Amino acid sequence: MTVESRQWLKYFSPTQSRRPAVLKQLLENHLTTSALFWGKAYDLLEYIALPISTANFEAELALLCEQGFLQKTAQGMLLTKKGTKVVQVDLMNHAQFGMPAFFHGFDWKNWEKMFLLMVQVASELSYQNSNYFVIANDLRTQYRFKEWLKKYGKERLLSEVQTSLAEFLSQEDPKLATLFCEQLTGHNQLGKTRNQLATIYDYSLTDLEVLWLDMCSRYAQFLLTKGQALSELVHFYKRNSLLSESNQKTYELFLAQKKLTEIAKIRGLKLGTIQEHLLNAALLLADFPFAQVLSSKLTSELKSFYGETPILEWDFKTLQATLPDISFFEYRLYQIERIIQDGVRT
Amino acid sequence: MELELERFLQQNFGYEAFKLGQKETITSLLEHKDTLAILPTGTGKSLCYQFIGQYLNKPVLIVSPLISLMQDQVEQLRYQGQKATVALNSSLSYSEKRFVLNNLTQFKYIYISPEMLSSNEVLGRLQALDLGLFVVDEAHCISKWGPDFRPDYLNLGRIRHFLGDPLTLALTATATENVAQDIIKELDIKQAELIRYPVDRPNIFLAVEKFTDQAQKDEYLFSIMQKLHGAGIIYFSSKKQAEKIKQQLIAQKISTAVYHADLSLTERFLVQQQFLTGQLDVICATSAFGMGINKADVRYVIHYHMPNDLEDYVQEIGRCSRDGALGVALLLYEPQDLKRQEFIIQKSLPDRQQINYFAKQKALLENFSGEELELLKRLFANGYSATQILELVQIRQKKRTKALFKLLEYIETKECRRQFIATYFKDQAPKHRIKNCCDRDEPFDFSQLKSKNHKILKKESLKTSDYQKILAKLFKDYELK
Repeated sequence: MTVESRQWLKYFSPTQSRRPAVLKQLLENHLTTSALFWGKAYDLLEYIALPISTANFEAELALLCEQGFLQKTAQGMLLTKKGTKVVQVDLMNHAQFGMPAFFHGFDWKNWEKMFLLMVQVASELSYQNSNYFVIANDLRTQYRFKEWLKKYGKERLLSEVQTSLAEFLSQEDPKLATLFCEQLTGHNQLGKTRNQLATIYDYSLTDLEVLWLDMCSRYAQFLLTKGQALSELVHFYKRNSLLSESNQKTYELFLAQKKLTEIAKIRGLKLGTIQEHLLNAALLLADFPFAQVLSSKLTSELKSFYGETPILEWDFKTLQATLPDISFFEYRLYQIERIIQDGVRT
Repeated sequence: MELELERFLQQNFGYEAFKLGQKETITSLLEHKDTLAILPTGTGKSLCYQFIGQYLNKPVLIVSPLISLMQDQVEQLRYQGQKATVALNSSLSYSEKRFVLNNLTQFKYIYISPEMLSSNEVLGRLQALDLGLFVVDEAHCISKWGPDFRPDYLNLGRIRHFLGDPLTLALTATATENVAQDIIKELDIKQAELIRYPVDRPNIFLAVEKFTDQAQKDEYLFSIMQKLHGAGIIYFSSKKQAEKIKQQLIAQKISTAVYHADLSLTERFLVQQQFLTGQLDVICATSAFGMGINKADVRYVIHYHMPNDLEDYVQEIGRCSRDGALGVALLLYEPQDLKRQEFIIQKSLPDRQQINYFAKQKALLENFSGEELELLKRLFANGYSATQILELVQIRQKKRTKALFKLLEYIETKECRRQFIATYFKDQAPKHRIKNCCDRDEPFDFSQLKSKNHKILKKESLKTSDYQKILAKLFKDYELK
């Protein structure tokens, strides 16, 4: 989806100037260790793969600078006072993603097709009609759905779709639930496009898109939590781990207490790559065992070396002069651990 | 035999009688004659091969040039109960393609893109089938001299032989004599029965309005939209302009939607179905809309921008009044339109620089998209050299420009427009009628159109209980809380 220029402002800060580059990489799901590190430091990781188009990112930011909402710096851009005021107003008046982090590892485009298909089929089933144009015409979605239907049957589909939708929507703002339901297609009922809803109800297209994607994703999460048969359909589209397949393999070997050099050999990768995989795991997972790499002796040496220096102002070269045997991997891992423990003061 | 065919039609397709050219085509095929059928739009060409598939109870392979058209036809057939229908084209993922190929014998109607037929594996699988019919849809794409030439179509003759020369049906709505000869030659169906019906649609009034600039054109459009009622299509060359006019029509409270390549597949589905079921009056569309659309009561087709040629124009206005009632085809023209179209034609073909550059680095082409580069890819894939491509591009450029200027002649003509079109397609020219023929004598009287008033678009406010009502409509036994 595309956003109106001003809506970019909520992702910016008056103090963290590297945000533009980091944000773009995260939105585009281009997860380098560096992007993840700065994303963690700036608390931006929940925006990984958020469905917002970055096609006009640079041009829109340039416009926001011109309008005085953002200010260019040597490292990137900062939110101005004027920009901060806009963010406060916009957060109140525009739709926001309630669970942005869910989009990481979530194939929302295909889930959307599956969701619309299962609602349509359930609706037609309730009217015992089998003669209709199918909303999702791609083979894979249809095939997956048919397999599910063979396994669980029509009655289960109808009952789970009806009850889960009713329960999920009963917890939502009823007006927003209506906007959501207006987009569903079923027996003798065609959904409205977001363009049409924007015209009828005087909503902005961006808000409608955010509302739809937000509710679609939260409904998927709702199904996963319920753990009924429909959750199997969500599992096709939601990755279990936040790590990529390759990172996950490395991490599993690490958890099995293998040495890093051993992991590199098993995986046929360079040691540096293995270290990057582990840094990614430390940045993305909540329970990374830092102590497996950082001994308590090294941790206390690092703690006393940096003292009260703000984490993002640490410098590896100066550290090396005092602790010549320390690797960048160890240094960075400690830095990540401290960010998680203390947060970042900027 | 005749009665039997009609009974079969009624039992299997629910129609009382055949449309123009259908029975002749089907009879020719049932007599085991390869057939080239040139039937005007709206005559139900696809029924011809669907009928044969059902009647012979054998698989039918349909080569079709457009993914969107294929998908529409697959959905139509599935809707009619023919679930064993599939489209094999580049939109399939690797695993989907594998699934289809491994289960090919399960399918009755197999739509396939010409590019997909260049794969040996696909051909091998198809060879194992006992094909009832080999269909080449939009067969005019085979003609090197035609504006829609697709290089992969040139392989179809060879592929036909490879598949054991199955009974063949070539279908098109518009083919001049030269193009028809090309089709017969390239497909190597020398004994083919040629069935040709004139392109003329007597119930469509033909009109052109000329303006000095776009503002004047817009003013006219909005004024006639108040007089035109019921369903209509407005064609544009530009997505941006389609969006802009849609907004203005909505402001006039006319229920309108856009249809173009930027819409998601779901949105396209919804807009198309809303239009077909009468929930939408007007579609502001690019040429992406209309193939496979079978709505009988479209009362007007307006071209806000001129199309590429008379072939496209006749195809597009052919979506008007398929129920035989009076309809109107109106082309709006201002001088900038010609420049726009010339630019579009130029952009759709690779230029000298692109041809020479990519001839040296063909692999790089995979990283680029765009109509002109897609064509270049297919030409290289079919073994054309840079020199041959350059020559072909120059010829096509000339042909396309010539075709565009033929359309301009149609716009400028003071004679009967119906006769102009018939002469172009070498059909017998129909007699000019004083009433309801074209705008040679007098402009169209919009009040004659038999259609319901436009639905009025209402602004609404959201009510808190509405979602429950929608769920109750969606699910028959849903209990309102």
